[in-house]
This record gives sequence, C-alpha cells and structure tokens, in this order.
Amino acid sequence: MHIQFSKKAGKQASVLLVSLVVAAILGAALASYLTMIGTQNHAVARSQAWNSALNYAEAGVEEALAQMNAQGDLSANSWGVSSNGTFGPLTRSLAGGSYSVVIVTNPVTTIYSTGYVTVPIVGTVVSRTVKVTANSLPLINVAFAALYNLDMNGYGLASDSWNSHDPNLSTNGHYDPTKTSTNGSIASEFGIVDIGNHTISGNLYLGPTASYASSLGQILGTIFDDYNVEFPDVVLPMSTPLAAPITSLTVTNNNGRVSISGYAHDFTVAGDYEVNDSYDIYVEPGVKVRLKVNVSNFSPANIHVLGGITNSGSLEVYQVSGSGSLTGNITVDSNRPENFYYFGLPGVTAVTFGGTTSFIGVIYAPEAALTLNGGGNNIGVVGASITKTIRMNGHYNFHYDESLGTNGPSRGFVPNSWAEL
Amino acid sequence: MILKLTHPARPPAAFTLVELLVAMGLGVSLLTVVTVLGLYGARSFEGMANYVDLDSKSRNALDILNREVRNATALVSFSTNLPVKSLTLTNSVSAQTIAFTYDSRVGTVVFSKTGQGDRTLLSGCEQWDFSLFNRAPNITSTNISFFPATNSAGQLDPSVCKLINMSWKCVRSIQTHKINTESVETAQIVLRNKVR
Repeated sequence: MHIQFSKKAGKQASVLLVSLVVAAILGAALASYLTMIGTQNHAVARSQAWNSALNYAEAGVEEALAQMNAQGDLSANSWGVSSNGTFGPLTRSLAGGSYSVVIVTNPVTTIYSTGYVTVPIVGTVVSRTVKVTANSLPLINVAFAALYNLDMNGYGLASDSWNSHDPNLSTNGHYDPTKTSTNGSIASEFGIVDIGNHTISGNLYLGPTASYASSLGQILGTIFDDYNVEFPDVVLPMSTPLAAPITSLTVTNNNGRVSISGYAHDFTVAGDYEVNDSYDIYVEPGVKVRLKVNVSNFSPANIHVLGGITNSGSLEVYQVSGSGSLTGNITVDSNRPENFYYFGLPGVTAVTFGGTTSFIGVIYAPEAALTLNGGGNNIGVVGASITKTIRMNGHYNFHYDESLGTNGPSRGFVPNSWAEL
Repeated sequence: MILKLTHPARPPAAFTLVELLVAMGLGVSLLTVVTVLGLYGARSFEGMANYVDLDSKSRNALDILNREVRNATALVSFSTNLPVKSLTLTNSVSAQTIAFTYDSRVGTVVFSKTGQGDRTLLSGCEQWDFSLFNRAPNITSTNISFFPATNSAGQLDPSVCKLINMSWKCVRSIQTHKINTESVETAQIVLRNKVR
C-alpha cells in the first residue's frame, strides 16, 4: 500500500533573509554612528590634551621664572649644576601631566619648557613646547611714582632725566641741566594725579582706575592708562647686623666731620649695621653700608656719603617702622643717586623731606606717604622716589637718573618674548 | 490499493472585511512607526554629523586663533562694522601679518597670514564678536576681569590691547531648518608676545 501525500507549496526562507538584510542595515548604521561618536570622542579628548599641554608648558615657565627670581643659586631646588650656562632639564609631574623645563642663561636668558599630557582613551602623549626669553626689569624706572594720590603744588618743570654714567647726559657724573633727556616719567597706580602747573618731561603712567588733572602740553610724553606694576614691599636683606659704631664729635672728628648732636655713626668698615637713634651718619669713601634703623622717628641732622665717582661710599638705609625725616643735610659727594637708598619697610608710614638742598638718592617706601615741604627752583630730588602717596607743598624738580634702570635694584625677571615652537 | 490522504477540500478563503480592515490598520501603523523611526534616526544621524563638523571646525578655529594671537606682538587694527568685522595682528618676530575676517554676508571667518593662502576657519557663521582689553586686571574678592583697551581719550586703541575676548556662533541646517548651533563664548586669548 502506498500512501501518497498531496503536494503543497514549498516553504521559503524569505523571512530570514529579510531579517538578515534589515539587521545588516541596522547594524551598519549603528556601527557607523558609533564610529562617528567614537571619533568625535577621541577628537575632543585629544583637543583637551592638546590645550592642557600648553598649560603644563607654561607651568614650567612659571617655575623657571620663580627660580630665577629667587635671587639665589640657580642650581638649587633640584635644577642641578650648570652646563655652559644651562640649568635643567627639570621635570615635574603634576596631576594629569608633566613638564620639562630648561633655563639657558647665555647669551640671552631663555626658558624652554615642554608640557606633556596623555590623551585619555587613546593613551598617546601629546607635547607642546614654548620658548620664553626674559630680562631683568628695573625696580626704579620712573622719576617718581605713587600707588595712590600724587599731589603737586607749584609750577615749572617737575621732572626730566639724565644719566650719571653717560657723559652725554651728565658732566663728570653730575646732573647738568643742559644735558637732560625726556625719560622723567611719573606714575600712579590707583590714585588721583594733580600735576598743578608743572611740566613733565616724560610719560604719565596711570593705572586703569587712576585719573589725572592737567592742561594741554603739561605732559610732554605719552599718557598711558594701563599701568600694571607691582611695588613689592621691602624685605630686610640682613639677618644679624652689627651695632653701628658711635663716635663722640664735639667739634670735629679725625676726618673733619662736624656733628650737631655731638655724636655720630662714622662708618669706616663695610658691613651690615643697625642703629637705635638718629645720630649723624657718615659713610667714608669706598665703604658700603647697609643700615637697619630701629628707631621709629628717624631724623638724622646729617647724612653724608663721602667719596667721589671712583671711590664713593654707599649707604642703604632700611627703616623698620614709624616715620622717616630726611629734612637734615643729606650730602652725597659723588652726586650719584645710586650711592644712597632709603628703603622703608611696610611699617614705615610717612617720609618727609624738606631740606634746603637737593636730595640725591632714591626713596623707596611703598607703604609710606611722602611729603615734600619747602622746595624752590633749585631744590629737587636727584634720583627717584616710589611711595604710597606723594604730596609736594611747593615746587620740586625731579631729575631721574636713568642709570638707576641699569645699575639699580631689579624687580626680577619678566618675559619679554613668547613663542611656541 | 492506494490510499490518498488529502486535506479536506476547502473553498477558497478570503478576508472578511473586518479582517482586512484590521490587517490594513496594523500594517499601516507598523509602516508608519518604521518610517517615523527611520526618519528620526536619519535626522539624528545627520544632526550628530553636523555637530561633529561644527565642533571640529570650532576647535580647529580656536586652536589656530589661540596660537596666532598668543604669538602676535601687537594688534594693529580692528573693524567692528558689519558686514565685515576683522582683527589684524602682527608678529614682529616672524615679520608676518595675521588677519581674521568675518563676512556676515557669506557667514565665514577667514584666516590669512603673510606668505600663506587664505583659509576658511568657520562657515555657516551667524555671529562673530570680539572685545579688546588692556593688560591691567581688575581684581575683586570674587572675580578677575580686565579693563577695556581704551586710551586716555576713552577710545578703543589697538596699541594697548593685550587680551582679546572672542565669541562666535555657527549653525548647520537639516532640510533648510537650522537645527544645530555651536557657540564659543569665552575664548579669552592673551597676546603673550606683546611686551608693552
């Protein structure tokens, strides 16, 4: 017996095929979508690493500048011994990256810093290198500056410049009114500048919030209103000063000095000293003295720095607190301001000058109000001053010695060019 | 003997009207869902592609702006008058002039540099603005900002410009609709190489 089944239409795998095709299309779309997202993700990650690398490189520059401005041994702080004027490379690792930095001191002070950052996800390292040249900026670079108000009474020429080391701008190292230049600039960071009827042979530097009052033509240079300079507080540069020698001077001493008070500090040996009084001060030729002043009302009747251009003595006064009066006779035989500095530490709040002769020297007391009494056509400040405020109760001439910019104290290294390599 | 097994004969079957309507309804619904999902997916895909394009262009533009402005020694001139805004800088070290020019008529920001051909950094750009600041910071207890680069007469002066704040907005369209936008709002770039 044969059993026959009737034939029916055969089943075909069309559903499976369609499903596979659809799945393939969806899979391809999903894969390309995910690939695009992944690429975008990588691109963003690399971009972040790329930008971060520059930050790390600049962190290296900051460390190099800090090292240079510490004014100590450049090889300290793990920088290592110099190799032909090159310090480093110093490598520091920070969270998320690292930098490697080198200081080259010869012939131009230059910092090379490379920042390294690992790209997330990908794991590769990107790096960027910057080259920064730096120069030392002078602390005293204007005729007079005040953090706040600058109030000038009187009239006539108030400031010009000269150079005690340039025969074209001085005579035998002395200020010569026939040999002047136009760098007698003045500055105020935050205050009101009242120029009165004076003329400034230089620029007027103002901070963005400072203002000034003057007539047309009183400022012979340019008026800037983006002045952005910090006047750092004075730090006592000595640790254990010696007691200053006291000499009894009833009439004259051996060197022919006359003391009004009967006593004087006559420095014949260079060094760091301290005083607790306001006796006369004499610094003999060729002697360099740094003097800590502990008395709160420092007002010597005589300060005399002896010696000529070639063998001048040198006096740096560091008053700790109180007020300083420079109304006595202040004589610097060399006529070079670099030979007499008055530094007021943060505790000094007032400095007064009212002598009958010109002041030759530099006053730097950024927390003190400077008052200039008296004055006259032939009375002035030969040198420079930087204080919290300035008030001139009369006409004063400021003759800024441009050599203070090269021979005077520095505020440290600052970048003067920047380039990504 | 032959035994034939056959299915019982059936009369030709057909959908009833109700069945047909239900089937058509389900089919149309299914097709609609699939079509909508497909279109939505395509738009999303295109939108994402647009965003990737905008983002990469903006990042590239920002990188170039960053590099050129940082290396520049001074801002020479600027123009804020539409339809064309521009910034022109100089790099005295490499003796090159760098310009960024926004043309609102065509919506492009073009970068040009001495010795190099013009390069379109941004397209579809609806807005490109910049502000100029000097070097002095304005520091408060809660914020650090900068003062405008104005001279003593109160006029914007490129010679005192130390910092440039830029922002731009670019768009991309999907089927004539502006869907994607990309904004860079706080790109503050310092002219590192400008000494004074």
